[in-house]
Amino acid sequence: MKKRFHYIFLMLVLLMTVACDEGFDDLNINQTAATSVNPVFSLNNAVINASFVSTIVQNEIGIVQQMVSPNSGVLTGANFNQDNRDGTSQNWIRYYRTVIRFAVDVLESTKDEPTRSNLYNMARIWKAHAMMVMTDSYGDVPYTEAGKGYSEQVLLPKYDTQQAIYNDIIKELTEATAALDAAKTVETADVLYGGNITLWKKLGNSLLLRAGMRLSKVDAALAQSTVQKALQGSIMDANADNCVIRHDANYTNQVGNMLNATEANNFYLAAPFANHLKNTNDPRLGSIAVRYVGAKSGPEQNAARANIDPAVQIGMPFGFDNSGIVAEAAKAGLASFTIFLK
Amino acid sequence: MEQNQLIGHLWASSFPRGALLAGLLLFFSSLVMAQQVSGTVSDKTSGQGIPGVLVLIKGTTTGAVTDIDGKFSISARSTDTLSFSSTGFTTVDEYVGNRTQITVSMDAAVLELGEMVVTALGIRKESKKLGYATTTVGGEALTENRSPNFMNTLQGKVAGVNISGLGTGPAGTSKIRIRGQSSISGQNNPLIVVNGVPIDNTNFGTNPGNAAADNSIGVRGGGNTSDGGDGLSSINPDDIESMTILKGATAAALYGSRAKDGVIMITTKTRGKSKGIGVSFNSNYTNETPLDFTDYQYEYGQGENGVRPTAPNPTSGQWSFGEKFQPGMTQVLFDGVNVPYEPQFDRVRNFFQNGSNLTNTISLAAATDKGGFNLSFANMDNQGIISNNKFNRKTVNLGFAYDLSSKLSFTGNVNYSNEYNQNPPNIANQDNPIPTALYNMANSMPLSLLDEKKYDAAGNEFVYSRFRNRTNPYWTIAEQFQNIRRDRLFGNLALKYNLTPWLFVQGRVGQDYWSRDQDFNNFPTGHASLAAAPAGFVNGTYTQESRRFRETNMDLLISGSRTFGKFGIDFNVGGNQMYRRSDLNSVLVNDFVVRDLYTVMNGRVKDPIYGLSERAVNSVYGSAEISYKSFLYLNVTARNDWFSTLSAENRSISYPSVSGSYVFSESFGTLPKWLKFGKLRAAYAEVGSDTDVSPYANNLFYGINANLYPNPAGAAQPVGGSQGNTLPNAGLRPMRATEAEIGLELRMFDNRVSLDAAVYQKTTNDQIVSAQISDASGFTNTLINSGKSRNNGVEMLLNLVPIKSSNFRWDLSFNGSYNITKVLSLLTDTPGERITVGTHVFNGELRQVVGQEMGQIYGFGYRRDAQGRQVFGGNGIPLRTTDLISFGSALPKWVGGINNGFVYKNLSVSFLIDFKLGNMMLSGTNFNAYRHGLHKATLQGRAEGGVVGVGVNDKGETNTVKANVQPYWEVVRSLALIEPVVYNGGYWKLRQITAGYDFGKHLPANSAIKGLKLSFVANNVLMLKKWVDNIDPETFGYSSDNLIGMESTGLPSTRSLGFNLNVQF
Repeated sequence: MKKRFHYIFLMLVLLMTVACDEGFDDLNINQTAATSVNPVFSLNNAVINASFVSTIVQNEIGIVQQMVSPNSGVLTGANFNQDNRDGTSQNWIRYYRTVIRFAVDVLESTKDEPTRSNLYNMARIWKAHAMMVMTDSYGDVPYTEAGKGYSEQVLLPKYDTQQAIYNDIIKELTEATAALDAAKTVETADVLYGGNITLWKKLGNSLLLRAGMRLSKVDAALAQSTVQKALQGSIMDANADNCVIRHDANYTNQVGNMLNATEANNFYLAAPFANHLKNTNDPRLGSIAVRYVGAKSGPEQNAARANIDPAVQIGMPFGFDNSGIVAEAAKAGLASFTIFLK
Repeated sequence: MEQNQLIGHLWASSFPRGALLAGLLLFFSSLVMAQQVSGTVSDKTSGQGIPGVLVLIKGTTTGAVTDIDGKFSISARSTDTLSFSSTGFTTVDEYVGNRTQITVSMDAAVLELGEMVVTALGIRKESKKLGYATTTVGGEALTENRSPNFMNTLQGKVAGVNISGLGTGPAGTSKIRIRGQSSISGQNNPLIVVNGVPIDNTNFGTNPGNAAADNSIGVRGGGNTSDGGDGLSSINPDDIESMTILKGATAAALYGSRAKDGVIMITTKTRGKSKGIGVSFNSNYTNETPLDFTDYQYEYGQGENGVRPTAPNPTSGQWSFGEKFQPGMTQVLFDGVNVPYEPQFDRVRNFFQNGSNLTNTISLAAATDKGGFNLSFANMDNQGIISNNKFNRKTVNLGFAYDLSSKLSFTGNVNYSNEYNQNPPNIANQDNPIPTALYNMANSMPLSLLDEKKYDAAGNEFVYSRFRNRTNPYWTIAEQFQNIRRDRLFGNLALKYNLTPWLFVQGRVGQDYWSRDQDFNNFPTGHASLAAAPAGFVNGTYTQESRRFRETNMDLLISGSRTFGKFGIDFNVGGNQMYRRSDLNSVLVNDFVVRDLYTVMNGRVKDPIYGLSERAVNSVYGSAEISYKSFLYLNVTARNDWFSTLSAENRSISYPSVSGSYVFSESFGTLPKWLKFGKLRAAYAEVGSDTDVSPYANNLFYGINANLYPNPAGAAQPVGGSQGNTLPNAGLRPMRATEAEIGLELRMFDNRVSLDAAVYQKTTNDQIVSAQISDASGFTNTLINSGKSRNNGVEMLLNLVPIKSSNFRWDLSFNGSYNITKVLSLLTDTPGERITVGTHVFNGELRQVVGQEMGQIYGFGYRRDAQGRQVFGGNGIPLRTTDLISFGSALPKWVGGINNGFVYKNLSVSFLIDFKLGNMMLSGTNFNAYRHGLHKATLQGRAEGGVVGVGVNDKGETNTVKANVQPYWEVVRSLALIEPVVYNGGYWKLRQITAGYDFGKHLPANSAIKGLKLSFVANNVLMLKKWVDNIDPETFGYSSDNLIGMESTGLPSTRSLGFNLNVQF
């Protein structure tokens, strides 16, 4: 019996030397993720996510009078200028959680790396673009402290005034565009322009032009100087210069999916837009509009009835729900409101 | 983690004075010689021997079991006391002295509760020693009247325990709350322990809209909102010998961490009750009838804005704002046919079919003097109420115990289950699932037409409604599938060595391993809400996943028990090492080359992921219990945990508990005659936990997307970035719960009245709360240590025997509990500060608000002026409040049940009524019933061509504007106005009726059949009272852990009728 206790005692002493949390530090390292990636991949992420969310489009296409739906529910907001926070918050969510977060991450990881100065300045231009979308949509928004949750532990970033934001956007676009330098490392992994400095400079200047034009009614002097500054450089003047997000099978276009599928039966081309195109003989009307002549139902909106002749297109007026629109359709001589322009 | 350092070092380092321990062991070793004691245990009333009585040397875990004739033999010392216990009998203690023969006769117990209770770590204890509340349930309570997930059988039966089946299908989750909900944004499920070792109870539900750190596992790709079940559903109730629920933190102190919300301890059968091989066969069949609680309007039919469909335009289908039904009217439906415009009743009964559940279990058991085993095979076949939903579970359970020598013994159990869940229905979503589409189908849409016209000319879904997301339910049955296969093996092996008659050491290794393969077409090809695929492909989405999970627990326990005159001491010291690893392979594909070939290879767009998660908890613990005579007991425990998920500075936490029991009925020489037993108990405990911290939450990690993205030259480039929406916090500490309770147990008047009552207060501090932060930070939330909540409650079990004669007996049992949980602080303790835990589909959300009860339902209400008059807009439509307002807590305050049992000779009949009261719910079904014009309230104003709301306009003048009926009621959607669809979520139900006849006494003595019992069972028999319209308040839909009070249409609840046959050979 005594011997047995000696064994136990020996075992205890042996094992006491090992800590109770041995190996825990290693265990809590994620083996399926990295602690950093090449920042240009993060910029790619920021670029791809900058396309719009479908629900915000449901609201904004009403505001710009392009498309309308008389049906109720999620689509009501735009038709009747109703607050639909579910829809209107979506760009805020997407931009701050992805575009701005990733752009700030690129800035943080490249600001002290002179060899990546082009990447740094591309991220500045892209962030300025994203912030212009934010402040144009929402007014005063978090700007100077935005996207700094991790780098500076700012959990509740302060709001900046739209004026301050525009001043800084102009400064950022000006500086970043000027600092782009084809002699330095070219970021070929960039999905927007393949790192092409000329095109990025054109983007920077074009955004500067846009920023200036946006100010034309609030600060004419600043608008003028900004536009002049933009036009001193080269701006986009060919399709090849376009800033395009090339949605593909993996990175899909939400807006396209909504208009072609989920809400395909519910959207119509709005009268103000259709009339404007007709009145100005805009050839694009024939490319974007179709009328299913004689269709009395959704399923009858088929290719055989499709007519793209601009002359026969009738836009749907705003402000009618799906009972009111029936009368409007009758007024326009249509058998069913589904015959309105799609 | 190196496994060779297991166990030993864990407890070794908590007791660095190893030498002292060894010294103590030496000191206590005594030389009292053991003697062989044998005897017979018999039933006092019948005089027959009782098999299977546990004979235990008091204060130890050494024991024996009586054989078929009630005989036992055990090695004991003259100073020992033997404790005889068996379910259904009152425990008897006998002092050994110099006897070698002991004859015991036992009284039938009034309480069903066993007198021996399995406590933490699987240690059996006499219940009178315990200073905290436990409830033990015998196996029969789970098997006779059963449900596929056996926990649901206990609804309304255990004081302080709130169990909810969710209306999610036969293999669905069972939501269990012990003493209410305490966690502000995390998990509240109790720990499940089988034979002393924890098993996994991961919930595979989806959690729509849940913004918080909920550990339930969702699925990718959308379209799948089925409840994939939980870990409990792999257990066959026939294998359960008994189940003990440890309610408070004290009871759980030795399980620490995951036991903060209580522990459910399941003891499975490990040996037969008689010598030789006993065979028993149990068959249980129930038939499930879907219940229809809808009370829709059938006066106005399909259509919108008062117009019925007269063209095959799919504008309606899901709206019943049409014209008043008149004889001879017709409607033109989506396929162009002209059919009578008349109401279509009974959608629930016409669409759903009866389900069934058949379980057959055969078990072999044997016992010898040295040990025994119990081996069972079971097959359960469940047919759901949707034709393609089937669930099959095969289980093999082996339990065994063997004494290798008088000192060395081992016990073990292995449970293997093979589960195949076919097409668990999608539920609780606004869009595609069957229940939502069916419950909102226009009331003049013939279901037969939908069945016939599932496909259009191209073979795709025939669009029947402009609401394309409301998939034709018959098309869903035909086209959507899901397969979930799980293989699971869990069990443990324990080796026990008696160092001395009063001291043993036990090592135990347990593992729970499962692999789970799941595949499903999130969106079948041809789904009306899908965009067309590019030329050459067909659309659709398919996901294939496979998960593996392993949890190992290794523990070592040294346990001793000694008496010194009037004092006794029991002590345990031990250590545990828990390691858990789970990983996932998942491939999601979109669009296919070959139609109807759902494979990942056939997909056009492929999105593979792999995930791995590991965590470990090391623990050391000890407990000591000092007793004085047999009426005063004091128990103290201490535990230290180390959590791998927390940083080195914060990962260690230690916590104590102390509890006492005073059996005052034994402390006085003479008792009043009416008082049989009386005990006061009190306890205080702390528990620490890291359960709401997921691994790797302390650092920011980066990943690369599964797919490359082309640059302008067409060259594919990587896309990557930092991951996760939760801002990492390296400074997290374990949360800590403290609980105090006082209890009283009385048995009076010849055991015809017994009472067990408890009052408790549980404070949960430093809760790990997922706090919302500004999206502008780049993240949505961060984990912080800050939340504090307090549960106060009372629970009571009262058993009465109003009538007791030789042939007839009436047992009346009432259990009830009251619990209220308040949020004391979040980021700060400023009243009104809040976080959002989850959101309803699009209207209303669940919040935790400082100073209010936990689980507040918030949303827009009707706007009212200072005089309380409702305010309408210029168009006559109701206006909403300027901000979201509270509609009360979604947590029930009162939970309980009343059971009546009658025994006449061999016939027993019982019925159970249960209730949940004091909770509010936001009903998604009624939200839709309003906006689609099915709710009876929407009849208002239809005959008059509009509604003139009673109230004022925003200038304070009486409202006279007539609003169109449809937009008037659609405010629940357009204005997210939830006031009409918030209800009292309580109910009273006749839950169970069981009638059994025991043929045992009619069998000849030499019959091969030794026992035969046949029972007729009924479950969910009758709704006695509810407040919510159109649904059973229990069919909640969401299985997410903390998303409470948010109802979204689930499957209809069912009434089951059936029988249970038990034969013993």
